[in-house]
Amino acid sequence: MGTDTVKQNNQLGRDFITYLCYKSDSSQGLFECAGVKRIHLWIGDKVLLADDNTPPNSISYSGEYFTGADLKQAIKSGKKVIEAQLRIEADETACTLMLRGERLDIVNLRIQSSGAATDDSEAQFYVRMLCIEQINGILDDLYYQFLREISGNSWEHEGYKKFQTWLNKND
Amino acid sequence: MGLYTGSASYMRYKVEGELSGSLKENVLARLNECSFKDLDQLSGRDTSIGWVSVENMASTFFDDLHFAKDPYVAVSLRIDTRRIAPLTLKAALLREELHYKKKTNKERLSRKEKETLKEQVKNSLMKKALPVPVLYDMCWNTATGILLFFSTNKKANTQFMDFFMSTFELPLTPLFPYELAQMLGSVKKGKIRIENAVNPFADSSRAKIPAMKIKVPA
Repeated sequence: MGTDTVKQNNQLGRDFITYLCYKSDSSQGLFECAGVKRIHLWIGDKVLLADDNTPPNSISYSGEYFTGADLKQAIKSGKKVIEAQLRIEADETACTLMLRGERLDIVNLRIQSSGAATDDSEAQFYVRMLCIEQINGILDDLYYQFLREISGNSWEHEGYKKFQTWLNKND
Repeated sequence: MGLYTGSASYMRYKVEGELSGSLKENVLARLNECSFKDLDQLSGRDTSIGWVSVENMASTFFDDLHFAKDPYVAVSLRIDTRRIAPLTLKAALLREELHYKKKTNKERLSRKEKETLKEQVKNSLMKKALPVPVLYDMCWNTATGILLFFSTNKKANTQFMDFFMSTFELPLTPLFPYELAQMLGSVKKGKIRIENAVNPFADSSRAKIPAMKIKVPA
């Protein structure tokens, strides 16, 4: 399949968020970015999954009570995660956001930075942009890791099998 | 909204190309040329679009270069629209038609008369309607060429892309999944084979996922 198919397919974003959910659940939320930072990424209180049918069959989970088993069941039935609330902790920055797979846009990003509060609007701007760019950098790094893994030679024989093991493991 | 405080929702773009000459002077000139103008200053228009200060939506003063927060350019896009609710127009039109019929002693109005009345009523209501503003923050990192537009609304993004282009004459590429993959592949020197990134979780050519067993009640 060529790059045109990948573009038209428009599934890259959904595959990425599905991958994040799998990796987060299977590694207790621990990720590495750029070989240096360690970050924690967890799935939050809202997840929406849908399949490729026309019209699509979708299911959403919200609140505290949905589990990894619920997620796996939906993925087994052919659905992918099309949007998910994420919680990210990296260094002194913590945030929650909704990541949407169709356009990889960020919705309702809320940053809890432990940096000192300031009345200076200029300083406020820079602190905020620093946090936003840090979060974008983390997501870009994770997206790059995802793309490298699934497009690499070892995905078929190793990565996919690990994914299947996770999918079929009872919680 | 979203750039300084509160929750933030945004789309990311890659700005294609660069402005020539002194960046701050170039941006200043373009912001001044395409700054927001109140609808009261634009007769016959029901929409006004333009740049305003990110710190004060009522200000189009850019000469102090407050928008230049190195390496960022931070401004807001303001769009004011005058709208008349459809039922408001209908009620006013029916009232005018009754008044006109009484004045002219006519029982029925011609199509042309109705159209003329409708136009007059609409213009009269438009003059009285208060413009409704919407405001979107934008932050352009001129060092990396990545721009954040603080709205995920599709129509707002389309309006923004068009207006950015007409202001700065630089096209924007939205960093959708495929485009972001291309950009990251290029930045990281092409270690991603995007053509292989199709349906990584599909089982059609791999071992089947065990089928779910459903118990049918006796």
